[in-house]
Amino acid sequence: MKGIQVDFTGERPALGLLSVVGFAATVQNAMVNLGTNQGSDTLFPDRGTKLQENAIEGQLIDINSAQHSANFAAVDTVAFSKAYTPTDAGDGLATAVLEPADFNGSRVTIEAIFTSVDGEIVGIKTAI
Amino acid sequence: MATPINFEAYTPAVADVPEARVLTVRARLETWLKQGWPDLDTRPNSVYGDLALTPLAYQIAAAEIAAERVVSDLDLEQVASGVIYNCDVVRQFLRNFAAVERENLKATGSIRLTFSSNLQRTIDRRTLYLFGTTSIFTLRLPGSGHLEVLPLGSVPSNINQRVLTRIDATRYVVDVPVMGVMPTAVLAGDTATTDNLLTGLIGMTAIGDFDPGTPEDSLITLAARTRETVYASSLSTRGGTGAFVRKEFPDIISTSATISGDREMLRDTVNSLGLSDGRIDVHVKSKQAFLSDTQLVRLTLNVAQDKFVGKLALANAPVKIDSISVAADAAQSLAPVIYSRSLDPVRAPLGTAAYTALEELWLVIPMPRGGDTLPLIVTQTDGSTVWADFLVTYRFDPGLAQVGSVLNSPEVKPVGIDIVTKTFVPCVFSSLTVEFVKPAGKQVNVTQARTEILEYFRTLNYPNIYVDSAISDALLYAGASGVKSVVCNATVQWSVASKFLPSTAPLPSVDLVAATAAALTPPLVRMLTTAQLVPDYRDVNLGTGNATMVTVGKRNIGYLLDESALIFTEYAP
Repeated sequence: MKGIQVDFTGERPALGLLSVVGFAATVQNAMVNLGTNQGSDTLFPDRGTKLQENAIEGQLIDINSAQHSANFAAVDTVAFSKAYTPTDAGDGLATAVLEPADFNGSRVTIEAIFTSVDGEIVGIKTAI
Repeated sequence: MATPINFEAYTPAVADVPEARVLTVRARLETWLKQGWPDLDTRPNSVYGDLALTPLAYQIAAAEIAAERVVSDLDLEQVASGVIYNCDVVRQFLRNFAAVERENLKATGSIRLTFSSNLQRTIDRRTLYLFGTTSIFTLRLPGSGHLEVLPLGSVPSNINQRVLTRIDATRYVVDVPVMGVMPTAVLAGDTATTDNLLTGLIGMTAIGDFDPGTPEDSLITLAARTRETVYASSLSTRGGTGAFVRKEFPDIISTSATISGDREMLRDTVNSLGLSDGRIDVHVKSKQAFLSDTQLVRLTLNVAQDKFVGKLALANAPVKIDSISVAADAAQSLAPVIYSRSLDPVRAPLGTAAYTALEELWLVIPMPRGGDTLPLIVTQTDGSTVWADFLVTYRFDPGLAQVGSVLNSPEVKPVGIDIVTKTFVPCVFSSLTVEFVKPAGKQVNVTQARTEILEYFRTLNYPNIYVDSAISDALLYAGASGVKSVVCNATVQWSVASKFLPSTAPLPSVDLVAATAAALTPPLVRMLTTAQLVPDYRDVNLGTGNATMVTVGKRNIGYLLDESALIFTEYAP
């Protein structure tokens, strides 16, 4: 797969000047899915996760609850990605693991590790 | 030049595009794009997928819906059912069938021309009749040439001829159909002026409210009529006849054709080859049915029989006689008898001529005498005949004469088929009693229910048949909680006459005794339950000397319910 890059490094995600190919494109889509509120897209009701919503609602009271929410987000993201990726695509998303690495009450840092069907592993650290 | 199509008129709002349809379009686009760009990431969450492909899918789905709506505007069935997205496109399309939306064209009605003398006159067909300052009408004649008005008692020999009728001692009238432009409404009784003032013409009055010719939902009705015209425009079939009448006469609200072989058809005959002749009875009812008119009728006294006898020559074929009274003494009670006689027994014998232009009516009124045997009606004489004037109030349908004259005009009449135009056979209610249940603490709008029920029966004709639920619905909408019972007392009125004269019988004016003896009495068909309001009766005496050739069924039954006959009773549980 080949897509347009989204630059997550700035304060806010922005379109990049490069393209993303292969599993990187899949990971990028997964990142977008993590940050999308589930139910906000009327065309794809299953798209997104409740991670941000849980955070905004104050459900992430400690690292355990953050882990709990992150697990659900990982499952939702993998399921959605698989639904829209050809099954024989080697750069499709096989698994996603989200681990809260740091939690200070108002901010949680999550380490995300994505594994492709072919076994390629990409790890990203992000903060919510 | 083609009518420009503005897609905005057809394109739905984004929120109105169904998601399921967008998903289908998106999937089709993905598949199509793969042909050229197999590696392009079009998945949800991808930049192209979310920012380009999904919006494009919405646009294409909306465009497909818009295209469907354009096709819908070209589907006359959709237009006729009221689904129109762009009136300009529909209007342009209907022009292909020479169907033009009429704004002020072809208003129709009838004018009563009143004359002070009983003379023959020719009225130029281009004569204009003006109501107010803007409503202009011309004669609507079934044949070419001018309108010829013939003196009282004449027999017309041409389709454009009309015979004067006396309405009182000094006035003679003829009713003529007109059509034209009507920017302002012409109502019953409005007087007109003309550019062709004939000698003796003393009045021009509208009979009934004129029909504007343009129904409220013009394009919808136009599409419906266009479909009927395209698919069935022949006067030789049942459906084609109805379609033709509705197209040509927009003020006709009900029409039903009975053909050879129907139970309601008794005029059909079989020739020597065993083949049935083509016969069609066209039953019509117009919006203005039934107008009321009062006319003076002069009857001659048959001294030997002590009865007044005369032809009941009314200006229009009557549907119901409301009253007959002495002109000089309305309070005097009378016992009139009306005889019906067919003017063309071959085409329409006996009862089959009822309610048509082929029916001739004769009125016989016994001289009422007091206890001292003195006559109670003051007569007049010129030395040779003795007579008295009577006032006859009757109801008629102005559409009957118009439709009949056109259907029998040489340009329209189908070859080999005999068409007779008549009104529906009226089922006259003596009473219709509706007992409704009034909910506690609530009012029932009886006035509203009365209006709805009267309108229901006024417009009830084939293919619709009477159903009890119509009465129930009217009462429920008026606030009743239910209808406990509906009881009727109605009679089929085979003719305004009570007796039929066979073709072999002499005229009552020639030999009243023989005519009376030969007269046939039609059977009494009474409806005492609502289930009987859809009758099915065929003269049981057919083939015998007592046959009156009467028949009624769902195709030719009409209903005449006066407001005074509709009775509501309240049941409080």
